[in-house]
Amino acid sequence: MGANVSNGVAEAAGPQDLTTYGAVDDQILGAMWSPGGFYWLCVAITGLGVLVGAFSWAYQISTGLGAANITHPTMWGSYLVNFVFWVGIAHSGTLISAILFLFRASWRTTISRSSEAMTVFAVMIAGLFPLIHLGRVWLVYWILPYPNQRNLWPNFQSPLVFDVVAVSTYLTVSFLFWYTGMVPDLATIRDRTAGIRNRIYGFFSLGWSGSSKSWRHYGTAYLLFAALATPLVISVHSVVS
Amino acid sequence: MLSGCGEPATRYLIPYIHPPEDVVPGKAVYYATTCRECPAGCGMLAKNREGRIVKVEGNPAHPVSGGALCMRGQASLHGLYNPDRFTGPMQRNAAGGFDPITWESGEAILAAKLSEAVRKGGNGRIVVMTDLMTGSLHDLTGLWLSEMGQRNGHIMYEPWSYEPLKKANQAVFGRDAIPTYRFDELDFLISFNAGFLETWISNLEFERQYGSFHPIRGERKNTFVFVGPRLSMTANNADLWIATRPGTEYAVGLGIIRSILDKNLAPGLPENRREALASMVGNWPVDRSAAVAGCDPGLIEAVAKRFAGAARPLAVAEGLSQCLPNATETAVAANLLCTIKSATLSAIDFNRESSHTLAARADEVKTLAERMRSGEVDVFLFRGVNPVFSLPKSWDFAGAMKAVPFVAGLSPAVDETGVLAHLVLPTHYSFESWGDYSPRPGVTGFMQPVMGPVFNTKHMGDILISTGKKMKGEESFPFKDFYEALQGYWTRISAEAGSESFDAFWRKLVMQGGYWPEQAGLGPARSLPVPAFNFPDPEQKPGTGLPLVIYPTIQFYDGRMANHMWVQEIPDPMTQATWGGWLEIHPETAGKLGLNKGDLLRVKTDYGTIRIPALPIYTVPEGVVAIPVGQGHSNLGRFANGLPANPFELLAPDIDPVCGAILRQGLNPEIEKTGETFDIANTDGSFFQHGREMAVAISLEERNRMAASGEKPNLYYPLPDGYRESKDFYPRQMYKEYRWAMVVDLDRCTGCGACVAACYSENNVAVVKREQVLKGREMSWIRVQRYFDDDGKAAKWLVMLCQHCDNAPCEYVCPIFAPHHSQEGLNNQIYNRCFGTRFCSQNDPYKVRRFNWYTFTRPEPLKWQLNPDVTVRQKGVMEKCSFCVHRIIEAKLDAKVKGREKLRDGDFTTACAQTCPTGALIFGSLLDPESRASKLINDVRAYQVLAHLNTKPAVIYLKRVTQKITV
Repeated sequence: MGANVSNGVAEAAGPQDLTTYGAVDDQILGAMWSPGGFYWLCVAITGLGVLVGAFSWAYQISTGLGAANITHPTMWGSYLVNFVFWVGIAHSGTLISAILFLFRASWRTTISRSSEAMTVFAVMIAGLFPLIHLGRVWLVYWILPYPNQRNLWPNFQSPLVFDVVAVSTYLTVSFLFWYTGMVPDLATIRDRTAGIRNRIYGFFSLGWSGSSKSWRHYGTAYLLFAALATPLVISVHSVVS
Repeated sequence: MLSGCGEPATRYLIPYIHPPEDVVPGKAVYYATTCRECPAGCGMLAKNREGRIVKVEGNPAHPVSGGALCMRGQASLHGLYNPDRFTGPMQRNAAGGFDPITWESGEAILAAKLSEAVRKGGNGRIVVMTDLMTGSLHDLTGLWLSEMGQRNGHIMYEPWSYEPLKKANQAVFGRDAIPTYRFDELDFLISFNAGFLETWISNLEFERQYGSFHPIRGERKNTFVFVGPRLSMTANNADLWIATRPGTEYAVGLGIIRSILDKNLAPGLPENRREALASMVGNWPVDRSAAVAGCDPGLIEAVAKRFAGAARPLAVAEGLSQCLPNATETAVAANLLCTIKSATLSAIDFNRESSHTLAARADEVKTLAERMRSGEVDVFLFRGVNPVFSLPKSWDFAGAMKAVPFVAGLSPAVDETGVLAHLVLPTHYSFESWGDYSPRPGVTGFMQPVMGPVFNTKHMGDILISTGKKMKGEESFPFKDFYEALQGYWTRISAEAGSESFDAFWRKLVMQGGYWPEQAGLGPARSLPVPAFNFPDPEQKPGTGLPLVIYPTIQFYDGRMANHMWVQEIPDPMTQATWGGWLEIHPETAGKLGLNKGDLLRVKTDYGTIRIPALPIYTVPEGVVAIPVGQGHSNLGRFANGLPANPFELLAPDIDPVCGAILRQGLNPEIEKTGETFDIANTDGSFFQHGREMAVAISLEERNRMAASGEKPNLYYPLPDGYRESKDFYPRQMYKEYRWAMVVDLDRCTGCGACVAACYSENNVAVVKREQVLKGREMSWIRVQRYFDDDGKAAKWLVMLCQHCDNAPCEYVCPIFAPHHSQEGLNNQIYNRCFGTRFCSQNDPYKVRRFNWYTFTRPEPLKWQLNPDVTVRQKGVMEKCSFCVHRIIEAKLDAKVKGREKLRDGDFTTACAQTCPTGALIFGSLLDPESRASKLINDVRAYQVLAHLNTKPAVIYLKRVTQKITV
């Protein structure tokens, strides 16, 4: 990518002509097609899954955790397993993206975006399970260190508080890592769109100009996030996960 | 006299504009009354809060209960608040259902039917069957019947009526009666299947006496031997259990006598007595006795030696014909043993005969049933009895009742007998009644209404008086109501007692809960008849079936309280099973027969068939099966109905000609699988400890050696002194004024489970019922764990409750400080703060924390029992033993009001420790060097459970002391 980006997909060259950045961009952005009926069908099916999950959770909240068929002394059962499973999925995404970046494995570029996205969504799913497993989830905010009249704070001795800190940090860093890597690409799309889409992409590309200064800062930031995300993979392995 | 007493409560939006004098909101009032769940008649104090009773405790002044209560006594509240009680008088309609009627019309119907019967004339036309009753109500019933022109129309029916025991006492002591026994002064006790810690005669009183007889005192421990076919709760407390073939227990007794005579171990025996004994045991040399009973002859010799060497030995026998064959023979053999030492006789007191003596014999009930069937009875009234359930099904008592033209049920709640009534006139429960009951002469427990009636019920005495007046006129019953009749009865006793003022006498009677002028001490000497009894050889029944043991359990007695949720929920002491009966079979035998736990079996005798699940367990020897009594109800109420199974249905219809009891041959039922399963809701994860050394025993010799050499127990004290820098990660806990702790003396614990029931009652612990127990979701804060020894020959109990650790693993892991360490050492669980991560329970090595998987509810009116001092927990909240923190606070406030700065040891105790009949639980502060708990933790037997985890528990156990009985 460079300053002389060609405008418009109409000018896109055929597969034979991949000699310019513009041509490559056109080739890749060609994947941003409008979704068809099959896509919406898939969304509907997964949406149905979400509804089933939401209903089950609502049922569990209204009747009690006995509905989950877990019992003494394995008090956490499949909720813990799910939590660990999704945190594990999240680990693999970061490992692929950040560690391979640190080791300069250039083949990572083909999969880094999807693995980072996977990390972010997997952590979000994992984070659901501690909520679902709570006996009285409507009081979950008590675990956050918010100022209150009674000076009641979370118990920082508790590994569950470690979990909250570790998972939310991991989510934040993974998100930033993913987003930072995406900024130049968002700018590329910005440059090829118009109207409301242009403004949205413009907002998220943070005024990216593609100057060598931007690229230098970008490179430093990306390296830092990669270096930060790697130890976090370890830290998120606190007691529960 | 009492708030809410009399008419059913009218509910106002603003209660108590003019508050009753003795109701102070937030302040409990205790009323003395008497437990009527079984004929033992223990004195109770009922705790009344804002007009409702929420807890019962033993009456410390009462000679029978002495402040303690058993599990059934604690659960008696569930009889009062039984949701299946009759809500008012009812009449049977043409469709077979019941229609509500008014009391006026109900009594008019009864009076009309009675008049009809009286007009016919003749004796025996009207029969009143009740449970055991004495005193004023007994007299009134007698008066009422005689006014109706009836003699002997009052049958007091008790399923456990001990006819074989009476017969044996007649044969050996010359008295056809049940005496009072004194266990506390013995030094040797041998029980022939008598479960005196469970149901036998007066189990709570015996348990209290056992608490001073058997546990170690100084360097000594008295000896207790149990002879019987099943390792019952009582048997498991013995130093030695001699397992017998069912029905051959007498052979062991005769072998012991023979051994004593052969070795001349009883030199003081008069010659004529020796000859009589020798002739009776002539056929029973030790080897033969042992072969008949199927035990080791060495054991018989050893027991004989100990028995003869004891200063005051006692032998008791169960004497229940339903349970084992040859009950009379066994009772006679036990009584013969009692005649060997003259000192023994002072432990058997016939001057104060137990009221059990008054219960009708089975042959009398059988005669009644036959008269009913042949149409000689016109009106049959019953109260508090359930013969349709507790008599052998082969008697067909239900059929006999159907032959009676008019049956009136006066029981407070429905049961199998009650559904056959034509007219239901529900009477008050004992807690709602005035009354008196004497378990033996010289001890009379008093009953007063400790709260207003829950339902539209009436006192039985009032029903008798009003129907009597309707028929015979006012002058025949010269009292307004039963209360006046009761006062009249006691005016006589007051005069006999030489009391100056009846009012003062009466007030004292009501306040202390009874009248016990009984003099402790010996009765006049008796001359014993020279006994003669022919002991048969045991019948050898051909066939392949396994011999059957039927036994009463501490939870259910005869099954009358099976609809009380607590006794269903609290695990059986030996099998740890809940909610339903079972058939015990040795795991080896079960393996041979291919039976697995929970296989639903068809158990068939010549007289009946029941379906019951198999439970392979070590409580029975190989080749023997056992079934508990109490379950198998079809019409007792929502909690009991449909659970398997009633072993009375297997019994023969015949009467034992020797003692007049139900004849019980050696039943060898056929057992076959039905192919179905009925899961047994047991709460034990395993039979064994798997080497974890949680319930620990120590031999008497080892204990004495350690004590002599001055060894100190190896404890991690739950005190600031217990801090060790090398081991402890967290800083030491500092305590201000108290460090609450509990000592559990496993040598005193009999496994009875009274503590568990008391805790359910005190702390609003939820009952989860069978399906949830099957999932391991029971909520008990304190439990009595049972661990078999590796050989399966005996078991140990371990009372497990929150250990209130100094270094509590649960406290550190909660993210929001719901478990919290108090400045008095309590591990407080703050329900409001808990949001249910359950991490505390995961980290809790003792597994005493209980999670509310649902919001467990109680049907009306059971929720009236809830203790207002303790939060009722909702779903999603963790809970556990609080060391009765509300009692601590109450005691502190009391001390403050009395002007004392600090609590003294013994000012109060926890609910579990309060009710423990043997004093196995001792609660106190370890910061007070003079407290009993502080002193006991220095005992050489002291240890902590899972101490290596460095949790520093504040519940400190004292090891059970074992002793070997060898030749």
